[in-house]
Amino acid sequence: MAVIGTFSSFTTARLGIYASQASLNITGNNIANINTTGYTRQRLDLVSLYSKNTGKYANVFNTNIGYGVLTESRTQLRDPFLDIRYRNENTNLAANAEKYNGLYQLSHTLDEVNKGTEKDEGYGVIQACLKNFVTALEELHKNVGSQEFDRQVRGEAESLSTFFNEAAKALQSVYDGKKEEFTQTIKETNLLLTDIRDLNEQIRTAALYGDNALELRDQRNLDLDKLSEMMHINVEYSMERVDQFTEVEKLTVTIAGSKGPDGKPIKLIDGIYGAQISLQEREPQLNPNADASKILAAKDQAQAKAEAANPITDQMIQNRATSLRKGPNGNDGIDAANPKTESPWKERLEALEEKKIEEAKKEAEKSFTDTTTDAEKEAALKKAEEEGKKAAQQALDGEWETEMQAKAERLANKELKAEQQEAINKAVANDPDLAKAVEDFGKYLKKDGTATNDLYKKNADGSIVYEDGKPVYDEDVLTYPNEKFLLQVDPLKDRRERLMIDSNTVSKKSEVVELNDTVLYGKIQSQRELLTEEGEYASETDLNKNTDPPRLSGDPDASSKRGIPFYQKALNSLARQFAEEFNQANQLPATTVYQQMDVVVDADGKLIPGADPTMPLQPDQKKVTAFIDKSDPDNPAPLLDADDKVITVDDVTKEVEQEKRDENGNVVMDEKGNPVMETVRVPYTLQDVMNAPEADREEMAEKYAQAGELQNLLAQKGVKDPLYEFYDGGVLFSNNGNTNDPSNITAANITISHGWATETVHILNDKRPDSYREDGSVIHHTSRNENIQHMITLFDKQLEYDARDMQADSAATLPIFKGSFREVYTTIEGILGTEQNITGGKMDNYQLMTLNLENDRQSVSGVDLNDEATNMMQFSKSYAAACRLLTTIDSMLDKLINGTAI
Amino acid sequence: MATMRITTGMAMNTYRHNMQNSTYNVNNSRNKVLTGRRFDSFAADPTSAAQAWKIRRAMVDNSNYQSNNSNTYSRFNIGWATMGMIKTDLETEADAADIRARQDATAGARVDLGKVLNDTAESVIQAMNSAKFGDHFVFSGDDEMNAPFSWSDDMKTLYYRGVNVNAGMVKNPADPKNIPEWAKDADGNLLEVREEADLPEGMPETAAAGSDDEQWIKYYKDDKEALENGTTRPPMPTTATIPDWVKKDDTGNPVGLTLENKVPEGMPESSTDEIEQAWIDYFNDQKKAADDNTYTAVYPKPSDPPGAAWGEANKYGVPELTGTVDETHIAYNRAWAAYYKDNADAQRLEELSAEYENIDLGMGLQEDENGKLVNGTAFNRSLPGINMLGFGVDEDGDPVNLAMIMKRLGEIYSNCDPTTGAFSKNEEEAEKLKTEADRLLNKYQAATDRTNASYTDVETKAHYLQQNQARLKLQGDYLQEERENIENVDLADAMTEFSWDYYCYSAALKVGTQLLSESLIDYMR
Repeated sequence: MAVIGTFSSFTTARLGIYASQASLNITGNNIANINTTGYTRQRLDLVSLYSKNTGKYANVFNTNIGYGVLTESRTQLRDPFLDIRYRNENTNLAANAEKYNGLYQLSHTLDEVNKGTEKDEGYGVIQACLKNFVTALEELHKNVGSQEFDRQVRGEAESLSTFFNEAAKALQSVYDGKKEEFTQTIKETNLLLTDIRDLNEQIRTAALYGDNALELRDQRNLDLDKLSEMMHINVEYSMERVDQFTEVEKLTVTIAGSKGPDGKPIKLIDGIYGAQISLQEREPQLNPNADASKILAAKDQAQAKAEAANPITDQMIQNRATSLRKGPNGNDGIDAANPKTESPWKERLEALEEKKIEEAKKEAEKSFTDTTTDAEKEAALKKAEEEGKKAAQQALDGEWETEMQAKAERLANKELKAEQQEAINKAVANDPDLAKAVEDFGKYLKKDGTATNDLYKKNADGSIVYEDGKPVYDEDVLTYPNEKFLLQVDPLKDRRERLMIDSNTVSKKSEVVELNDTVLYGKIQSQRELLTEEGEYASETDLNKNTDPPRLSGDPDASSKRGIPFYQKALNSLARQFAEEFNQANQLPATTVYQQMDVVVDADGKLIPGADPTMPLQPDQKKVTAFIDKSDPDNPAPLLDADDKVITVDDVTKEVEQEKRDENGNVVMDEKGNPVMETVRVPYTLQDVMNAPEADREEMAEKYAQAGELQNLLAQKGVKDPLYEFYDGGVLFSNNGNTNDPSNITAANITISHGWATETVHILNDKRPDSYREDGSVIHHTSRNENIQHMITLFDKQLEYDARDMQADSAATLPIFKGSFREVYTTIEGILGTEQNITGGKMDNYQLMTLNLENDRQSVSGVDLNDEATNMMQFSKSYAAACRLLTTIDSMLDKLINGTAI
Repeated sequence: MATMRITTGMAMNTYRHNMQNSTYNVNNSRNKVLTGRRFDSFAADPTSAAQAWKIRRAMVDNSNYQSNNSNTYSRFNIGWATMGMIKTDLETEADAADIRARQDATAGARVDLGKVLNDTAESVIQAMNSAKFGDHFVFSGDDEMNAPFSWSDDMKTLYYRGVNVNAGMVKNPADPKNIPEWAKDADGNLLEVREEADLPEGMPETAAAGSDDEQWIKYYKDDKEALENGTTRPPMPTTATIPDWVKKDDTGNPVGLTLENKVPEGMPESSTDEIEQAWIDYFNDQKKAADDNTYTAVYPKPSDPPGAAWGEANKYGVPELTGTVDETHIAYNRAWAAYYKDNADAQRLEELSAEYENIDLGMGLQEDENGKLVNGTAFNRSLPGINMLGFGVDEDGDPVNLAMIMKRLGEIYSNCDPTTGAFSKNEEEAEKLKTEADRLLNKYQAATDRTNASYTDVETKAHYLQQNQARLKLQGDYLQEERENIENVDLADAMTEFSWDYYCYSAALKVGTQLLSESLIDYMR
C-alpha cells in the first residue's frame, strides 16, 4: 500500500464512480436512441489504471496495485462485413423493387385479368373491345346489308380505338412519371453523395482532434445504406497520412464492378472529395483506343527521360554548397550568417572549454607525484587550462565547419531539386511523344475520325461555353442525342469545389467519367431500364452489333430487356397491325372500282386541257391514266386533288406481277404446268413503306398516307364501274379522326377514319363484282358477305408481327409476336405478368434476405432493452460499490487520523 | 447451437415484416373469398391467366357460334315452314293424280283446273317471295335484300333475280338438230341451192305409147337430165302436133328446157322460228347470188356462229356485240343473239343456284393462304329459291321449274274449250297440246318430288343446326366449367385459407402486444 499515496485511494474510488457514471450515461444514450434510425450501440471501453514505473525508491517487496479504472474511449459495435452484405442485398432489393414498381404501374393498364365492365366482366378492356368488335362483325355478317349493324361495328371500332388511345396515354403517363422519378432519384443520389463527402470531412476533422465521431459515422452509414439502394457500391476504408505522426481513416466509395478509363473502379467518393452524377443532353462517342494507361506510360517515360537529362551530381551539390556558404558577394553566405562568436556557438564554446580544461587538468594531475611542488602544480594547471582552451576552440571550429557544410549541402540539394523539377516539368510538358500520345488517344472521337479530349466548345480563353447554364458541345465532336438516359460521373470535388488531384488521370485532375449502358445496377439502373429498354425492338446500334466504334448506349443483351418503351411499342404494333389488316381487307384497288381515262399532264402533274393523249407529246408532257370525275357526266374530266393535280392510278395503286387466279382462287397454269403471271394493280400497304429502300421510304410513306385520302375523294367523286356500284370500302382506321391517313398508326393515335365516321366508307361486305345481265342491267348480290367473313377469320388468323413494321431499324429478324390479335394482346399481357411475377418473387426473396441481414446487423449493433437494463443495474451497483469504497476509505482515514493515538 | 443476440429493434423489424405478411395474406385470402377468384392479376398466376384468356377466347367464339347457329336455324325454320306450306298447297290444291283423274273424266273441268294450276303457280312464287327473316329474303341466294322471284308483265315468264328461270329453251342454231328438215337431205346433210330445169307446166306424167305427148315427155325428161348433168342435150322431136303444154317461145315455136337456181324443196316463204327464217334468208341469198352473177352471197350460214365478228366473248360465251349488230341479217342475228343470251342466262342460273353464304358454326372455319375458305369448315346457309323449285329446261325443251310447269299446264288447260274440253279446234294442234300436257303432268310429278326433296333437305339441315346448337351449348358449358376451374376458387378451400390466415393474423396481433410490453425494465424497481 505504500506505493499509493494515502489519499490516492480516494482517486480509485472517484475513478470508479466516474466510470460507472459514464457507463450509465452511455446506457442512457443507447436507450434514448433505441428508435433512432441508423444508431449503432455504443460502449464505454474501460481500462484498469496501472502504473508500472514505481519510481526509484520503490520497495522491491511491494506489490504493484492498480490505481482504479480509466474510461478510455467510446466505441461502436459494428461489423463491416455485414454492412457489405447488407448493402449488396439492399442494391438487389432496390433494383427489383423499382423494376417491380414500374411493371406494377404498367399492369394497371395492360393487365386485364379480372377487369371489365359489368357487361364484359372478366373480359378486360381492350380484350373486351376486340371481343365486341368481332361479335358486331358476326352480327353484321348475319344481317349483311342492314345499316344499323354496320353502325354497330363502327361503334365497337370506336370503343376499341378509344381504349387503345387510353392505354397508350396511360403508358405514356407511367413513362413520364418514371422520368420525373428518375430525375428525382439522381437528385437524391447527388444529395447523398454530397452528404457523405461532407460527413467524411467532418469525421476527418474530428479524428484529427482524437474524436471518433460515432454519431457522424452512424449518419454516414445510413447514407451509404441509402446510396446502396441507388446503385451497387463498394465501400472501402483506408488510412490516410496527414503528417509524419498522424493518420486518419479515409472512406472511398466506388461503383461496384465498374472500370474507369484508368482501368480502376469509378470513384464516387474519395475521402473529402465527392462526385455527382448527371444526365447529359448528348451521348459522346468515346474513342475506343483511348486508354489512359498508355498516356500515363508515355508520361512516365517523358518524366524518366527528363530526369535523366537533368541529373543532380555530388559535384553540383558541392559547388552550390560552397557558393551558398560564401553568398553572392562572398561575405553574405551561410558562413557569415552564422558567426562563431555568437549564440549558440558562444555557449557551445564555453561548454567545450569547461570540458576540455577539466580533461586537461585531470591529465595534468595524473603526472603529479608526491614530490611535485605546489608551484609546479599551479603552473601545470595553468598550462593545462590554456591547452584546454585551445583544444576547445579547435573542436568548435571542426563542429562549426561540419555543420555549415551540411547545412549548405542540404540547401543546395533542395535548390537543385526544385530546379530539376522545374526543368522536368517543362520537358514533360513539351515532350513530343507525350503530346502525340495524348492526341492519338484522345478520349472522344471527332466527326473526322480523329481523337480529342475536348468535348465542349471553348471560348478563346479556354473556358467552356455555356448556354442556358448548360455546356455547349463542340460541333466537331461526334455526339448523339442521349436517348438512353446515359449518366456520367462528374469530377471529384471537395466542399469548396476544388478538383481532386488524381495521379491516375491524364490531366492529374479528376475528370468526367461517362457511364455506359450497363455499368450501373440498382434503383437508378432499374429506372433507366424502365425508361429505355425496348426488348425485341432494339436496333443493331442498341445491341452494339456491327457498331464500330461501340456506343456507350449499346448493350448486347438489350433485346431481352423490356422497359416501358417495349410495352408501348408492342401495343403500337398491335394497333398498327390491326388497323393495317382491316384497312387492307376493306379495300379494292381503286383501278378496279373506278373508271379511268387517259389524259395529258404537265411536269407538275397538272392537266393540260384539250391535249390529246393519243397524239405525240411535248417533252415536258406526260400521258397518265386518271380517274373520271363524276361532277359532269356529259363531259368527262379527270379527278383532281386539292392542289388541282391530276390523281393518277399510280397515286393510289402500284403495279405488281402475280400469279393469275381463276374465280375460285386457284392458280391458272399454262400448258407446261407453269403458273401464268399477270400484271395487276393493288393498293399500297404498310409493307411497301417498310420494305422501301431507306432513301425512298419517306416518299413511299407519303404516298401510302395520301392514298387513303385519295380513296375517300374517289368514293365521293369517282365514277364507279357499274359492277362495283356496291363498293363502299376504303380506309377504316386512320391516324387522325379528321383524315383517312392510314400511315404511322400507333395505339395513341388510332381512330376510325374520317370516311367511316362520315359514312362515306362502310364495312365492305364483299369484294366480288356484280354481274351484268345481257340487257346491261346488273345482277345484285346484296347479301354477299365473304369479305365480312374474311374479317372475322382475320380475328383468329395467326399473323406475324415484324418489329421492323414498328421500328425500321430493329435488329429483330424473327417475328416478335405470332398469333391472332387477341392472342397477341394476351402475349403482351403475359410478358408483363410473367416478368412482374418473377421480379416480385425476386423482390420478396431479397426483402427477406435484406431483413435477415439487417437483423444480423441489429444483432451486433442494435440496442436491446434487456441488455441495457442489465447494464443499468450493473452500473448502478458498481456506482454504489464505488461510493461504498469511498465511505470505507474515509472511515479508514478517520481511524488513522483521528483515532490513532500519537 | 450458437445463439444470436436478439435486440429489441430486430424483434420489432421481424415483427413488422411478419405482421405485414400476415396482413397481406389475410387480405389476399379475404379477397379470394369476396371475389371468388383464384387470382386477380396476370402476374399473380401467369400460367392460369394465360389459360383463362384462352378459354375466354374460346367462350366468345362459342357464344358467337351459338348466335350464328341460332340465327341460321331461324332462317332455315322460316324456309322450312314456307316449303312446308307450298308442299301442303300442292298436295291439297293441285295434286297430280287428281289432275290426271279430272283430265280423263270431265273434260269441261279443264278450264277451271287450268285456273287452279295458274293460281297455285303464282301462290307458290308468292310464298317463296314472302319468306323473310327480318328484312332479308330467305330464298334470294346472296341477294337477300331483294325478292328472289318476279313475273314478266304478262305473267308468263318467271325470273329469278332477273334471270329467266326457263333459260335454256332457246335452240342452238349450230345444233344439226335445229336445222329445218327441208334444208337437209335424207341423210341429214345440208342441202345447197342447186340448178334445176323445170319440166314444162302441165306436162302429163304419162302418155300413150308412141303418141306425140309421149315423145315430148321423153324429150323433156332427157333434156332435163342432160341439162342438169351437163351432157349432150337430146334433139327436139319433130311431131305432127305439138301438145299445148310444150314450152314455146314468143313466136310459138317449141323450145327446150332452161336451167334455173332452186332453193331446197319445201322451204317455206317465211317462218316465225328465227332459226328457220335465218335458213330461209340464207337460201334466198344463196339463190340470189346464183341467179345474179354480179352478186356475191353475204348471208351467213345460220349454223355458223358469228365468232370473232361479234367481238370477244364474255365468260358466258356471249360475244361483245351481241344485240348491237347491224340489222342486215335480222333472223340470223336474232337467232344467235337469242341463243347466246339464253345460254348465258342458263349458265347464270347454274351460278345462282350454286351461290353460297358461308357462316361459321364452329366447324373450324379456316382460310387457305389465298384467303379462300377451306371447304367443309363453314356452313352454307344460302337457300337459292331456284334450287327449291328447279330451273332451266329438260331434254324435251320443257321447263323444269315447278311453277313454270304448272303455269304451262294451266295455260294449256285454260285454253281448252270450256264446253267440250277440246285442247284445240285444230285436231293436230289439239293432239300436240294433249301430248305436251301429258308429258308435263309427268314432269310436274317429278318437280313436286324435287321440291319435296328440297323441303326434306332443308329439314335435315335444320335438324343438323338443332343438333349443332346442342353441341355448341354443351361445349359452352364445358368451357364455362373449365374457366371456373381455372379462375374461381373452391369456396370451402378459400374459406379455410381465410380462416387460417385470419387466425395467424390475430395471433400475430396478440404476439405484438406482448412484444412491445415486456422487457427487463418492466421488472426493475
